[in-house]
Amino acid sequence: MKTNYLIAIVLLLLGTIWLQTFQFPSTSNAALDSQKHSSSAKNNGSLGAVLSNDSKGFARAYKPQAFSFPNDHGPHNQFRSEWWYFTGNLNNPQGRQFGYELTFFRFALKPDLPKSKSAWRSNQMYMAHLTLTDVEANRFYTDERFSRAGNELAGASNKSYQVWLYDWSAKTEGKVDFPLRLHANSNSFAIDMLLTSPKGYVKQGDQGLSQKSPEPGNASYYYSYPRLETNGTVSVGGKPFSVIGTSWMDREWSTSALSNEQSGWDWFSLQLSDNTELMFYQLRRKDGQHDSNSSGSYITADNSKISLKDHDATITTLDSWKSPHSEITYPSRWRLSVSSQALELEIVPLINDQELNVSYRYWEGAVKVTGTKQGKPISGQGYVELAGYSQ
Amino acid sequence: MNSLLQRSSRNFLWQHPWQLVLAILGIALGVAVVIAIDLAMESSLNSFNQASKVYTGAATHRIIANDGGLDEKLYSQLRNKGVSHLSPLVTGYVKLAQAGEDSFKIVGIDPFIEKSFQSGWQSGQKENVSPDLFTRLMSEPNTALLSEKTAQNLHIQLNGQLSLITSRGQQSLTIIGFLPNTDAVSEQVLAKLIITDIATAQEVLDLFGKLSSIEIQLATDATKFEAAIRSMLPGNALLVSLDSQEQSLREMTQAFSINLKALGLLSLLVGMFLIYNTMTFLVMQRRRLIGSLRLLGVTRQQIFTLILSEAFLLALIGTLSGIVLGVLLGQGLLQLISGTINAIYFRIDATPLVITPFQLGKGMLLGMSVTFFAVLLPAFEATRLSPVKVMARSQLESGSRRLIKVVGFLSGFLIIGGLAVAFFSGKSINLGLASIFLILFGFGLLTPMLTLCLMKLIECVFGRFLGVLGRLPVRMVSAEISRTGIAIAALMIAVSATIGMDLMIGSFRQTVAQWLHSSLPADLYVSLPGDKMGSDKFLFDQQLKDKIAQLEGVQMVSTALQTKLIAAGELTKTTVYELATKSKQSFIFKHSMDDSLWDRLENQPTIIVTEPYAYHHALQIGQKINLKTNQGALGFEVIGINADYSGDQGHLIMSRQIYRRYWPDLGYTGIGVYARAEADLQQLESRIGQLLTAQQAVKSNQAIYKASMELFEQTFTITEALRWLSAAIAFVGVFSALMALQFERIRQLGILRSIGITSSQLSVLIISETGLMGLMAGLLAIPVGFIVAYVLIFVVYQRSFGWTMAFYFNAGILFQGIVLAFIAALLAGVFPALKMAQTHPAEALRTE
Amino acid sequence: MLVYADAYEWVELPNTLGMALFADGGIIANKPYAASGYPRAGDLYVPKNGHWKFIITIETDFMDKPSAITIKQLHKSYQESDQQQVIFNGVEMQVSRGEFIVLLGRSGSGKSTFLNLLSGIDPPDSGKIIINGIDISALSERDRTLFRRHHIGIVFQAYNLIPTLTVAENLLLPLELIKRLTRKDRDDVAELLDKLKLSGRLNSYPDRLSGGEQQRVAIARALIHDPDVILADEPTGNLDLDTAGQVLELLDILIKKAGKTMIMATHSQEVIGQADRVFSIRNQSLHLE
Repeated sequence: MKTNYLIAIVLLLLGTIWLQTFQFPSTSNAALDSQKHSSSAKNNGSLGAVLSNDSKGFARAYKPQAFSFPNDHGPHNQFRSEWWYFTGNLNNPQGRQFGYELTFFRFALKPDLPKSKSAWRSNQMYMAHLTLTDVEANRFYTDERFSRAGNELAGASNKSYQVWLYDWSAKTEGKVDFPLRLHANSNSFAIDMLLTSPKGYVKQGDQGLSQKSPEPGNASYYYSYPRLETNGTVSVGGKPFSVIGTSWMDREWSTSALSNEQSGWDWFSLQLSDNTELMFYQLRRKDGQHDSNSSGSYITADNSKISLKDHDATITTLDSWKSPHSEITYPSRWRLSVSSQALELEIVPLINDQELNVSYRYWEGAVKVTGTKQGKPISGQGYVELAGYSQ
Repeated sequence: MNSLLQRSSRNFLWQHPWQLVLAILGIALGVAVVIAIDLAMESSLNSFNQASKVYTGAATHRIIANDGGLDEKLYSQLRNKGVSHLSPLVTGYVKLAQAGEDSFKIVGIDPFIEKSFQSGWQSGQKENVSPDLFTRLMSEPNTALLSEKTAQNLHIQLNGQLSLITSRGQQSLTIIGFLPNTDAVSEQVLAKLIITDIATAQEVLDLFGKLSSIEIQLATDATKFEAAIRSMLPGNALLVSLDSQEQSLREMTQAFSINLKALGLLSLLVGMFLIYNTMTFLVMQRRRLIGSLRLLGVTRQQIFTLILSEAFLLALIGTLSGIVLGVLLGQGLLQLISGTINAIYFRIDATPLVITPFQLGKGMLLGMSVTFFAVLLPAFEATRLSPVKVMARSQLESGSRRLIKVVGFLSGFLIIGGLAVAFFSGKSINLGLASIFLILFGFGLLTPMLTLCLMKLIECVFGRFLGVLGRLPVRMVSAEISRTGIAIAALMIAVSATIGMDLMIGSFRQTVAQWLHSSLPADLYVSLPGDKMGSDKFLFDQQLKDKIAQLEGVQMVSTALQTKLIAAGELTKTTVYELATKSKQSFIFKHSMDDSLWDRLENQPTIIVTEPYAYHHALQIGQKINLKTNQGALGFEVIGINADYSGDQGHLIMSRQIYRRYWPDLGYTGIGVYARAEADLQQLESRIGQLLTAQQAVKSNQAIYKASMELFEQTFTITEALRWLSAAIAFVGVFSALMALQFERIRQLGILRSIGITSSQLSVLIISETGLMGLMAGLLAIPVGFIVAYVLIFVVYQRSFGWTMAFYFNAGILFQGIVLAFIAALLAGVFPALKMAQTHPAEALRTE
Repeated sequence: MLVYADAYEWVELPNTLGMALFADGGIIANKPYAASGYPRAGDLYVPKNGHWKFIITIETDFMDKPSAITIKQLHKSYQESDQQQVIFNGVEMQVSRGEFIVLLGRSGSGKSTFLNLLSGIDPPDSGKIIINGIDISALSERDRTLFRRHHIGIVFQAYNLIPTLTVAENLLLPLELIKRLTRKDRDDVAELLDKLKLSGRLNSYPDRLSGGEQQRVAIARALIHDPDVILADEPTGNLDLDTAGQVLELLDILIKKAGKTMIMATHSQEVIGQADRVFSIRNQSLHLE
């Protein structure tokens, strides 16, 4: 009997000790962002969530305008959205393949900037995405950031090529634009690259006006640097790899692009082994019908552009891949033919999982290209963007 | 057998519901007070964290600055240099235009920082806190988030307006969303919080270019990183870990907390007496039963277990009800404690009572173990009862008389030991308090012996006049000394603690009053509150000062700026004075000094420190303190130590001239106005009043004196309340002891009745006895209270807070003590007396 | 019961207490009133009309008293849980002055209850208990106590001395209850203890005494204030034969010979022999043996 009580006391003591390890409910430390930061991101559908639907007060793209640099490298704050888009395929001397994406987005939340003495008062919001595809390790790294343009936290310059969000930046080391340094790092990976442009830029669409849907103004201003010689360093898990390769830069700004019937796009930017490039975007409609506003361009080795209309290119999806993260099924292998150029290409992602699980979810990945041009074998590389897919 | 044994025990307990209830009450009250203090104290401290969690989230570190605030460029520099996981904050307090509302805290955030912060406004996002809301918060000026509950209370709909009064006048915020509150705690925490975009906060609070702090989320092993951040910080900024900041808040309030907890412990100890008393009663009452059981073959061990199991049951019920009571009491104490912390330590915004299993478990363990401890002696006593011969009560009494003598010796050791501990224990507050407990306990043990002596004395002196009946109460006190002695001791301890604390508070009050008198040399004081980060505040302040100085009737003005400087790696309160000749006399130095001190203060990097600061940092004249200036670290020589009772952490005092040499001008927080002899003060006051903005105020030195003394009284409200609680428990103790006592002598009282003593005579008899006990307790409490006061003043308080004070004797307090003890005992005697008087003598004679 | 025809006013006090007030300012109080402890000859009293009065004498014999104790139709029962336990049902008894009555009965038959009823410790449910002409069943509890204080002496089986008082104090206490103690009282106590062969125990506490000694002191306490009736409840029950004999001898000398009325509950055959009458309690009633 006495022992019963001793046991009771011991249990009581143990109970107290157990209680002692109990943590104060709200002091539990949240883990720091891991390299898988992206997987914890919330997905609230589309970028439209950030933007209001009301485009009143914003400028719109109605007709072609001459681009002037460095001014047009800078922000066009009166347009609602804008991006500085870098993608590229890289190799280290041992032939290890990498792909990267560094994109700065700018969104105007309101057409006007309220007057204020506060440096934080801003109507411009920047977002940046950084990805790295480590083909050998079959790993895809992503990171994203946001900041307002205020207090020098993010912005872009129209004096020389410079766009930045915190310490991620694309900044010229020359007077106007090139050589351009890309610098961005995340917790577990980083890129630091110098881009030069031996080939120059092309105006996409109709002299830089890229119509996305029939309504006037539903268009963007769009120019590309389709082939940028790239060399620099990528780091994975603190381990640096010096790499060389080819990048592609897109600059595009608009206020409204897609129409209500359109659901998304498949965008291809391919650099072929004969020093030509192909850009094509296929717009998708919500009803699954063919959208006649799809278009693209073929850039010859001498940097002249051949515009491609909707019917100029045929894209056949050969395979699909279901993301384990989002359960979304994406097309994953394509046959692209441009009959006018006698171009028959098969496009294969370097790895399947290049889905960006960030605030706005999309698939953007490095691809390998094989095929024939006028019957002769041709190869290449590039990036494919699959936007607006859902479960 | 066992179950039968238990049933006999249970039946017995049920037959004495009063004892049962009182014992449970004793444990319950003791546990309740301890838990309540613990909960209230922890909640107050935690609320500081809780509230900031809403906007700091999982931050581990923080960059803070002195009152000048942080330059917002620091944030972009850090960001653009690649430091990530930063959260800039602009915070400030505003008043609602709506009357009767307290001030609200505005927290300006950047909605687009890393999600990993999981701040209150980030995490727990429901439908109503969406990215859309964040973009609105950022892009639409004067938008804010408010707790749903608060919005309801203020009758604000979504997209409704919240009117504020700020230093820039009335402003209006649009409430565009509600902060989700998931539980009662977060509801409280969010209650007085307005979340806005950082730009809005800057605009509303007029804090352009400034940040209040930058929260940082660092990985656990980021010492290198920390160092890198430190190297980027300007002179006025400091990187602190939130843990260490919380730690320092705890340290800051440690003395306060220890003193409170000691009071709680006092209650528990008095409660322990109650348990001891009841268990002894239960054993004594059953000595016949136990004897019979032993005859029947029940072993000692079984008896021991029986008593323990009863105690366990009592303890369990008592502790559980104590926990419930403690939570309720904690709710009440919370206001008092957080009020005190608010008044003398740091600002607490919202204080929900947070109940953790750990604290409840602690209370549980304490209650249970105290009960077991208290019951050991009676339990052993029960096993000692021989099965053959059940001892008569009187024999037990003569046994306890022997014990009392032994205990008398022991008490001598305790008292001497206690005094020794008090004076040779260095800086430890705990030891200081322990010494008080030793002294109290020692005198408590001595009480039975002293009671016996005094009763003998009373009989010798008054015996002749008293007659037999009059002698009876005196005899009863000494005859059942094992009971009465303990009751007297408990009462004595409670009363002497009361006397001691009263004397201490009285002395403290006198000291502070004198200090206040001398430290308010100016006739009028202008207070200039408002955020010192305000970009051009110093210009306005300067202009105001000049205007006041030019007013007719003003002889001279002095100014003060209360700010914080980084001393030895800590933000340290500093008062920067521009002293008028008259104000120099207001300093009470703890050492001899001459006028050269003022020259040095004005012209050399020197400081005066207040007594608490010198005490806590073991500083002496001539030593140097390293201050972080805008030009790097610099040693400031301590040239004076002055008396100051405005806070227990102490502060630094510096001349404005020197301050301006090393730090940016932040204006003033106060202007002292010295009037000419012939000036009409009221007129002057109203004329100054006309120069002031709504937030500024002018007050006479009398008004400040009055307000300060009120604050003083306020800080002791909690002490006062706790003291009464322990007195109440002592009262219950005495009551229970008397009830038990009367019950035990029910037969004796029956005999008296049979002899022809009327029931009212019996009541008088019993009340005389308890009155006598009260008187005894009161008399003993005087010298003990004196010693307690002495130790409190010269040992505990000096160690806790670094204050020296003079001992002020107040005869009224002693008188009060005696009256308190006497009345408490009398009151405690009334009910038993009435009950006994009502008991039918036939039944009384039938017992045993 | 107005005895004095020229009384100015007869003040009826509760129950049978009363006093006659005279125009010349004097009072004659009856004995129960005197027993209430207040008045002594020479004390002041303020009656309703507000004039000071002197108590000039205390009259003790102005009421008829046919016998020491008269019991009429005495009923007593106890409520024991749900059951009504009838102890006495219509007891009738007359005891003459100086009579020695012995009560017999099985334990639990109600001997102690009977004694408690006589001493006024317990009130009857109905019926009358008249002692010295006063119906104590009609008195309030307080008045019964005052009555007991003056008229009744009790000896218990368990001695029941006050443990916190010395032997002498135990004896002085009943005296003190009825009057202010004098030097003589102390001498009387000493004398009495001497008679009891306890003179050396004057300042001892009861628990230092043997059972016999304690009972002797208890008997002395029952007699010290010169009561009319002695009630004894098994006074020898706790004592060995020899000691019991001594105690009974003492009772015989001090009580019977002094002409006091005594009712004793006992089993002792020796005592039964000495009794004037022996009653036994059976069937809720008294039966003469």
